[in-house]
Amino acid sequence: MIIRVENLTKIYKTYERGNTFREAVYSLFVRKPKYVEALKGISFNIEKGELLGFLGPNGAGKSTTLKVLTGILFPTGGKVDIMGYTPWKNRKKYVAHIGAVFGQKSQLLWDIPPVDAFYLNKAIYSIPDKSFKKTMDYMVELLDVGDLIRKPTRLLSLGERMKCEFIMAMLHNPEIVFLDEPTIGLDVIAKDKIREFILEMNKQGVTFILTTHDLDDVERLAKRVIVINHGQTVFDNSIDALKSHLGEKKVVSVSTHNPLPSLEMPGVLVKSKISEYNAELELDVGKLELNKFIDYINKSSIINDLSVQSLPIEDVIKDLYS
Amino acid sequence: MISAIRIHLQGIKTSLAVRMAYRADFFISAFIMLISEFFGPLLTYLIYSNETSLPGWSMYEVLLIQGIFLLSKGVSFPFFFGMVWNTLERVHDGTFDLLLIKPRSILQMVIVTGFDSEDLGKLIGGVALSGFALYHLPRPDLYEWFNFVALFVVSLVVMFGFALILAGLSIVWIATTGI
Repeated sequence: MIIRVENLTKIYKTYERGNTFREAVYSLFVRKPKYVEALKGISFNIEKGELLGFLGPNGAGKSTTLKVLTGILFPTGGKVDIMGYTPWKNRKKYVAHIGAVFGQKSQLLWDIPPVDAFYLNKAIYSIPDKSFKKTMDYMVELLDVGDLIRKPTRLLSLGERMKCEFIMAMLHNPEIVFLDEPTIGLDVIAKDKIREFILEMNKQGVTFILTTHDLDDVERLAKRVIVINHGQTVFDNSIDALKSHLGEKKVVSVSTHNPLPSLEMPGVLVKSKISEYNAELELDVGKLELNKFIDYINKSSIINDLSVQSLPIEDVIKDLYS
Repeated sequence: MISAIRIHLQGIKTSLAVRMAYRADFFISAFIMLISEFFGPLLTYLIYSNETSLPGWSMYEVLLIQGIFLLSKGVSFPFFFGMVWNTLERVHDGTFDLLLIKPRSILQMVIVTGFDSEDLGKLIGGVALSGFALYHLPRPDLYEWFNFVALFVVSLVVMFGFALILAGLSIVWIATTGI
């Protein structure tokens, strides 16, 4: 077990301030405190080498959890043990073993090339020359950024910058890497490259904790998913279990030669009926088997065209978020 | 200790590289800095060259005082006072977290990443002005030099204390829950 989190809680103290000028002036002298319970006793364990998707709607407590796990934030209560460290108590020693990539916060320096920022990290992490060069060369080749690391960061595209962010976060060979929306705003090609890189590093034993709103990232990368909402864990299982969370459902689009028969039967939900001959349905194969359904439609209306797809993961996530 | 010095040197190199990315801006701001810092000594020179004076003080003694002030600012502003603006900006932008995930003391990180190369002009100006004034004054003996160095170090400690308090206050003022 590389990460053990037990009953983690965090309560923020904020102050209420009105929106009128009078209230703003009043708040200069008297402030009304407000307590926000961001985490309400989250518990989970992560094995070494896992690639975990950490999901939740905005304000669910994802960032707070990530900040506690990276040693940035003190929790109000609970226990965290990561590689034998308590992040907020042994911060300096602990963070030498972790890396972090924030999609919306850059660790590079805007006006100078990424390679200069890499050298600053080399000094900060006390990386030996030989190891630094070896790791940098390997990652530069893997991410195909050979010419780019010597161009000023401001001249790089978002995808190129993100690749350099990954190198920056991994130069010291961290055992755990926290990713906070690493593919936000990237085009499909850049996303693919980043995903390939993550999978490659994961194969080499690096544990990744991926926080994202991009469900493609989760489907392509994560083997296990934790969903939190209102500061509590609402799902913790494999990606396959997540997909079947709403039952064994399929989305069926059907087009027939004759008008469609009655579709009011157990296990069938008509999502949209385009015409008498075309419809999109949600089929619960646990209640009605797919072959029996197809047979029924074909016998009564003769199928012209049919497509069967898994239920989009978005539907499952929407259900969990609600 | 060696590792800490290495980080500071790398921080200085990186900061200089950042400043020199825009050459025109680098030279113009260095020139403006030099002009603004020499306004005080210039005023002293004008006062004394018009046959007026500050009672009990010769022109070179006044210039020496101004040079020492400049020297003090020239050490503190580039090397550690930048922590105030650095902390302020980072807390405001939400990038202070990025320093907390580095395996170093947070104070060291805000100082290293807050190095302000633009203020090195103050240091150069302070050395030049103090040297010029000292050249025209009686040579201090070893004991006086020792006293000067000790008091100068104390003045830097006071400046460091101010910077630390201001940097800490900026966290309290801007982000009560952000970090």
